Amino acid sequence: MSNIQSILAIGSIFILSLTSLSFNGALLQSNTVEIENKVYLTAFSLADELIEEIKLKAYDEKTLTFPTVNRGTLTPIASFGCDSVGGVFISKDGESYPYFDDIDDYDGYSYNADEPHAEKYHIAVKVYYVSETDPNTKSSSQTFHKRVDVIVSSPYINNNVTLSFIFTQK
Amino acid sequence: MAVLIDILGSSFIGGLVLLLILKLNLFASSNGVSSDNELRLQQNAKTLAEIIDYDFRKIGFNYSDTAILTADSNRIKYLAPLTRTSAVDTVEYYTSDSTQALGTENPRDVLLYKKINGVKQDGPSLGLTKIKFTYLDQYNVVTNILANIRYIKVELWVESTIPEMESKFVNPNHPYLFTYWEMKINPRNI
Repeated sequence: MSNIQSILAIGSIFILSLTSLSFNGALLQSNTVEIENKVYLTAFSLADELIEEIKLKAYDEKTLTFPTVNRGTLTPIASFGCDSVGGVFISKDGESYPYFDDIDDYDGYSYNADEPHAEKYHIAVKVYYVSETDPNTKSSSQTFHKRVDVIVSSPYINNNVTLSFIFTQK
Repeated sequence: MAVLIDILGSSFIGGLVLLLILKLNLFASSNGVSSDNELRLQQNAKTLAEIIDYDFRKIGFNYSDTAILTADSNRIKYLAPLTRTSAVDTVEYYTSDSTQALGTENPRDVLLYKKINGVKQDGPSLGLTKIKFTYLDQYNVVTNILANIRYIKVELWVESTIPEMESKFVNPNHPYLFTYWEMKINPRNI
């Protein structure tokens, strides 16, 4: 009888420990979600800021002065982007950040940001042509629609934040 | 002797269970308040951001000269028609000191004032504790030349308007939730 009581006592302590652990886990999870939400908010504002910056740029290097009606004259996708040279981003057209003059110069551009809430945000940009009839379909040839994806990551959020904007020739 | 150990043991386990239930109850109630506080805080930050965004996008509309008249880190004065029918108005945004926001419990929050054509409007507090304007030129470089301003970067530090129980453990002197919002606005007419 004494043995049974001991086993029951050990069993109850075990169940109690499990309950306590899961309860503390839930508590921690709740706090994590709360903090994560704030990090997401800031991530969205960082992405939005960069899109706002890109909005002021020309559609293409070839349309800096005049728009074109010929898609073939626009920059081919292979000439998109920029490279980091000694910490400075230089576009394939030869402009260095922050003097990029058109949207596709931002392809491959990235930077890190620290904000009051959380540090180590990483913001990266992808630019590509999309189909004029379906903006979700990438196009390998030149079109009058460019899609900019701004991806914000942080060690404090589970999923990256991606904000997209489709630019058309002005 | 064995009976005594049994009683002591069961009392101990029972005590732990009681403490756990007590903690669960406390957590449930404080979490409810905290979540509500957090939600309100984020709504307040979003509302402030929307008010500023809505007004700043109109800077320079229907006006061909330099539309920004004052560009300080905590004060901006500009020309913009605030309604579709009105002529160009002179609009000024600035904050009060923390003694003016008497409607909230937070001692650090300030009021955001909007002055239209010299007439001060009642501004919201919404837990705003600090606002900072940074002015950038077309290349995103900070500038203080009014005619060169193309972007206005707005940073908002917002706190909850009422104290929050869980924050008391983190910062007993100032137990308020905090959030930060930043945005870059490019008024199309400057």
